[in-house]
Amino acid sequence: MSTLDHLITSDLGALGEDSRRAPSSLDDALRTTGIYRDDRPGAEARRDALAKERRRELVMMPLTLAHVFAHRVGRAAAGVAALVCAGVMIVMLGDPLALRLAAWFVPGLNVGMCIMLAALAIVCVYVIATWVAEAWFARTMRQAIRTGGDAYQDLDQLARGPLEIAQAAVRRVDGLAVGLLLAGITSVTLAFGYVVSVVGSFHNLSRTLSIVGILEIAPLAKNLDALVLAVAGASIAAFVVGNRCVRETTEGFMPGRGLASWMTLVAAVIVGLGTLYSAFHMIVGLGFGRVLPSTATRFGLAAGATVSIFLFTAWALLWWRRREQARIVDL
Amino acid sequence: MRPTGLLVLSMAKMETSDQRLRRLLEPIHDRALAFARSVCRSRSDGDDLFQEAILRALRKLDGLREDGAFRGWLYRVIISVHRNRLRGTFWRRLLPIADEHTRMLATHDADLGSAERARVALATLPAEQREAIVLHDIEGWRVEEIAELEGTSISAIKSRLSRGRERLRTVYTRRFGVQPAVSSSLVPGELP
Repeated sequence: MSTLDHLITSDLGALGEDSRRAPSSLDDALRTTGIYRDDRPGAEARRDALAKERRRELVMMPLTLAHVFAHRVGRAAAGVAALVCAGVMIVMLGDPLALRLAAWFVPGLNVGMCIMLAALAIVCVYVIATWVAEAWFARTMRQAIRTGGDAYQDLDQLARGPLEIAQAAVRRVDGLAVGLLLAGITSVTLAFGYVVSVVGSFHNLSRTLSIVGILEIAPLAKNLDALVLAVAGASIAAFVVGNRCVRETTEGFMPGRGLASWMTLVAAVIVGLGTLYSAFHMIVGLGFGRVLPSTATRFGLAAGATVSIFLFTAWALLWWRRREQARIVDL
Repeated sequence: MRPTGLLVLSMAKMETSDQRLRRLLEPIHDRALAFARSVCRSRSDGDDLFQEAILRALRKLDGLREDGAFRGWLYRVIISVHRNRLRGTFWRRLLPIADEHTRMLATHDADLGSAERARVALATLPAEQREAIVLHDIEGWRVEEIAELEGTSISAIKSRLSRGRERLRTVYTRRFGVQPAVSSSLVPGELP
């Protein structure tokens, strides 16, 4: 412990001693509980005035907060849906029985249909979550100005106005909206992109999009470790970005500035082009020379694709978030 | 012989809220008052806070079912009143009344004693960090107890303690000019 910490500890101890010095007697403390003849009318008057003020605050509150809150909840839910879709795809790739079962339940199922179903599910979840969030927000705002029979309880409840509650709610879902959607988009793009690119290395387009084509391709299951590693890494990084977004609003911490800059977009494009170039090399090598890529190449491609998709998505989300913050910062 | 069973039940029924509050408050009165004084910017503010908390406790005492939970419940009331008062301090700044706190701030920092210095430094912390530091470092509560009191996780309390301590270091360094690496032959209460 440094000298500074010693001094702080010693000062805190002195403060404790000072606070314990000359305590008022219990009688004094309890005597004052009966000093008011009846403080209820005063409390009710204060409650009514405060409730009027809070209602005015709610009426004047711009709809921007409700919109931003609802869309942030929608984005977070869409992120979860995307993560689930990516997880289901990975499970189906790892266990061919699950894939056969899915193909048996949905005749004519192919990869294109899987992509369409996943996109539809994500959009539906986004829309429904936005509706639910709007309803929840409206109910919370109504509760924030509601008064009952107990004036003291109402005063406690009205101490926080609708504006403060709304801003707290918007802040609370900020990190989730960024982190979950970032993890979801990256994971689902990686999962489906992996299937299309690996099967496409061996077959033509129509074969690439068929479930039977997937089942015939052994490298899909063999290279699953690289995909799982990429998805896990992207999810952890997305969690960190979301966490930093929350800290930025609560503690003035600014770690997302680098990711939100134009240089991130440039880096994403450069890494993406490099990865595409390497992937074409690998595909040509497989198709003509039957040269199997090394482990380093496979993991390098997975890392390049992950970094490229992650950086691009993070930049887009943080850019969008910056616009939102600019809309609500002056409220 | 201690009364048990139905006798305790009938005694509890006969007891008024005043009497019940007196019985429950008696063992912890001094410590609760000291806590209120420590989290406030001055002793007199702490006394006011404690009185307001006692008033509120008396009004809400019927809602407390378990007598054993009184200590945590009372501290929660004190914390709630404290935070409500902090929200209202914006309006107090507009009033031209100099209280003990403003007088203390007007005093030269080098003239402050140990307790006042800690009070001034603690006043710069957000309420959650201040309460956590007072409970842990002054009142000697364990982190688990504070987490249960605040209704939050242990890691959140540890984070508040860590951030609060870090901010105290900053205040001591920037405001009081204390350097972290000075000699260790320091007399408590004396600035290096």
